[in-house]
Amino acid sequence: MTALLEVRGLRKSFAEFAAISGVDLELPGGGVTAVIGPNGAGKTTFINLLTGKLSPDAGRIAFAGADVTHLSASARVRAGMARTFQVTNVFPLLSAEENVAVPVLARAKKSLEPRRRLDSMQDVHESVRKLLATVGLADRAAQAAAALSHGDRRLLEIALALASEPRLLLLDEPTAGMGAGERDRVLAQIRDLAARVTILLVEHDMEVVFGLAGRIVVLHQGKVLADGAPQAIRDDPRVREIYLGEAGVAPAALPAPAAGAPLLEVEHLEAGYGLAHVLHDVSFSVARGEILALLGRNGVGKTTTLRSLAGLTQPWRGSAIRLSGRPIAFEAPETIAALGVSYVPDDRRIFPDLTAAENLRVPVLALRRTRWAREKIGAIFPPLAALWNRKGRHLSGGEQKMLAIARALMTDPALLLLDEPSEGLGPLMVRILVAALAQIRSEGVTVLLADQNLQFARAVADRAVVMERGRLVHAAARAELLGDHSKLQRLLAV
Amino acid sequence: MKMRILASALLGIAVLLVPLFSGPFLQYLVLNMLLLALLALSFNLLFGMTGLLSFGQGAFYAGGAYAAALLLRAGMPLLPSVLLGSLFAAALAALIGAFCVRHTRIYFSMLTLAFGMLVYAVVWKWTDVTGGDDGLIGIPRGAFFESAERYYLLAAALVLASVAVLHRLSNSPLGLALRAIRENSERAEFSGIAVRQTIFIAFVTAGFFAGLSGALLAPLEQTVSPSTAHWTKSAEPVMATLIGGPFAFAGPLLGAVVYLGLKEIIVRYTEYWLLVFGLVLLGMVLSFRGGLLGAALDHWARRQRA
Repeated sequence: MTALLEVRGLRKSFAEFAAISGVDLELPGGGVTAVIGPNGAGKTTFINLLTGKLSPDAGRIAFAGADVTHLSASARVRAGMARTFQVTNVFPLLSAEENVAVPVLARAKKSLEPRRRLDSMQDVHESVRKLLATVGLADRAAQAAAALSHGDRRLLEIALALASEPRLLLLDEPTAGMGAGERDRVLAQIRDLAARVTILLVEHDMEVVFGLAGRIVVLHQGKVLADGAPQAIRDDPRVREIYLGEAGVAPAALPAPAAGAPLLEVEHLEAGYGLAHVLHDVSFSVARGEILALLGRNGVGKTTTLRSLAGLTQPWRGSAIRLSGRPIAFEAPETIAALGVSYVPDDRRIFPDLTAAENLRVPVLALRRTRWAREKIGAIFPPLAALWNRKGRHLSGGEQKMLAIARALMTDPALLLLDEPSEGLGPLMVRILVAALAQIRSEGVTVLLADQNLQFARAVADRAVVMERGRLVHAAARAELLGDHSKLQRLLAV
Repeated sequence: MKMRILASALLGIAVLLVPLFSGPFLQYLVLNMLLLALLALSFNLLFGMTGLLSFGQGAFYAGGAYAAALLLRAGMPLLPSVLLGSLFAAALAALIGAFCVRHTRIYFSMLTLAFGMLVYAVVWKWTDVTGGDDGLIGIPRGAFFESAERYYLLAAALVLASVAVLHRLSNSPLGLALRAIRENSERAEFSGIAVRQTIFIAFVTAGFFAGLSGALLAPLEQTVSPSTAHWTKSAEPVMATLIGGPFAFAGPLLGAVVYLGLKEIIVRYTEYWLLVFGLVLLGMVLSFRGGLLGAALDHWARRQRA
C-alpha cells in the first residue's frame, strides 16, 4: 500500500539560508502526527512547502500516490490536502455561512458558476449548515467572521478546511493565542476529527502535542532530528538538548550589579492582539546594569512582552511600565527609543543591501553621535570585524544576529531588549554571544533577553523569570541558575 | 426581497418610458448616465467585488466603441456590430488580463493604467484605422434606429439587461468566489479556488461590459474620438463608483446618475465646473465613506437596530 503522504529529499533555501535541507517523511494515513522543533527549525516552511504556498528547490511530494510537487495550492486542496494557518485566516467581512460556502462550492467545482443564485442552492446550504454544526457554530451562521471571538474564528477555520473534504488536514499551531477554555474546545474538536481524517499538526504547546499526537517528528535546522512515539521523543537526549540548549557553554563571570532603584519596572502588564489575550498580569523589574533572562517555550508571550516594552504593541489599560521611574507604557515607540530602549527583534531586520558597516551607520545618521565606535563593536563581536564591507544579505544568520545587536548598541541604549538572541545559533556562535553580552553588560548597558535556551541563559543572565501561557510562573536568582536548575529544566523541557 | 424586485422592475420600466415624456436633451442625458452606469458596474466587478482597482477600463470602453464604429461603417447592422464590438473588447481584456491578473494591489492598478495608455497611444497613432486625432465620424445607425427614440429604447434595454446579468452574477457562486478573493486571496486559494483563473474571468467579463458601454456610445454620438481611450475616461467609473458606493450593487448606478447630474447642473453656473465638482466630490468621499448608498444603507441598518 502506498503512503498517504510521501516526502523525499525536500529542500528549500531563502537566499543562503537553508530553511529545509533534505527532509524525508512518510505518513501512512490515519492518526495525528505532530511536527515540533525550536524556532527557526523550518516547521512553517515545511508546511508551506507541503501545501504549495512555497515551491521547493528540490525534492518530491507525493499525495495519495500522485506527484503534487508542482501543483498549485488550490489544486492540492482539490486533491484532498487542506490546511489552517498560524494566524487566523478567514474571510473577515463574509458571514460564517458564506465563509464555509466558499470551500464547499470549490469542492463541488461550482466556484465559477455565474448563472445560479446562491440562495437557491439548497445542497450547498445543507452542507454549510452541517459543517457549522460540526464545529459548534450553527447559531452564529449569520455573523460576520470578524465579529466572532478568537476561538470561534479558529473553529471556523477548521470548518473551512473540513469543507474541502480533505484526506489530510494540516494544522499550523491550531491553539496559538488561546485561553484555556477555548483551547480545550479546539482540542476536543481535533480529537473528534482524528477519527475521520489524517492530521499533521505543527504546534508549540507541548501539552497539546503530547495530548494529541501518536507520532512526533522533531525538526531541527531544517532536518528531521527524531521521529517516533511521544515517549521515545521525550526521552531522546538529542531532543532535550535542542530544547534546553548546549550543555557545554561556560557561564560568564558577572560582577554583582550596582544596587539602587531599578531601571525598568513592569506592573500588571496585560496585552494581546484583537481578541487574543496574550499577557496576564505580568510584573517584574530589571536592575540597572543586570542581564535578566525572560525564559519560556515558544508562543508563551515573550515577544509580546518585549514588544509592549518597546511600544510596538499597545499594552491594555491598567498596565504600568516605568523606565527610571518615568511611565512609558502608552508612549509611542520612537519616544521610548529616544529614552534609551533599543529592541532587537528575533528576525533581525538588518538592511540587506547595505554593508555591515553601513548598517551600523544608519542609527548614527539620526543621533549624530554615539559612544560606540566601530572598533569597539569589532572587539565585542570578533567575527564582524572581518566583514565590514559585506552586504547584509550575504551574512550568515548568526552574523546577522550580531550585526542587529551591534546596530542596536549604536543608539546608545540604557536598556537593550533582545528577542531570541541564541535562536538558531551553533555552539561556537553561542559562546561568542555569551562573551559579547558580558562585555556589553560591563559597559553599563542593562539587558532584557527573551529566550528558550536554558543553557544560554545560565551562562549570561544575572536572574531569570519564566513565562508560561502569558504569566510569570517562576523567578530564579543567579544561584539557582548556576546551581540546581532542575525546576527550570522542567518548566522549559518538552 | 419581493419589494426590491418590484422596485427594480418599476425603475426599469420608468427608464424605458423616458422618451414618452421628455425631449431629446433629457433622453441624451439619461442614456449617457446609463452608459456610465454600465461602465462603472463593470469597473466595480473588479473593484468592489474582487478588490482590484483597475485604471484601464477606458481601454475596453474605447475598444468596444472603435470596433463597433468600424463594423457599422463597413455596413454591418447595428445589433451585431454592438455585440461584436463588445466581444472585441472582451478579447482585448483577455489579452491584457493575462498579464494583469498575475499581480495584485498597486501593481495591478499600475499595469492596467499602463495598458490603458498603450491602447490610447495605438488609437492616437494608428490613423489609417482609427482616424487618429480626428477619430471616426459619420457612424451610421441604419435606417430603423435613425430615430433617437428607437435607439434610446434599444440601448436602454441592453443596459438594463446587462445590469440584470451582473446582478445575478454578483449573487452567484462566482460572485461569492470573487468576494472571497477580495477578503483574503490566500485563504481563497487554500479553499480550492484557482484565484488567478477566477480573477481572469472577472477581468474579461468586466472588459465585455465596458466594451458594450463603449459600443453603445459610438452610434449614439455617431463619432468616436481618442478621448474615449484616455486615462481620464478610466477615472470616470472610478469616481462614479466612489460617489455611489463600491460595496452595494447599485452604488455605481447611483454614482453615475449623481456624477453626470451634478456635472450638468454645475456647468450651467460656472466654467470652472471641475473646481466646484472637485470640492463636492472631496466632501462626499470624506463624509460618506462607503459612498452615498453605503452611507444610506448603514443609516437604515442602524435605525432598524435602534
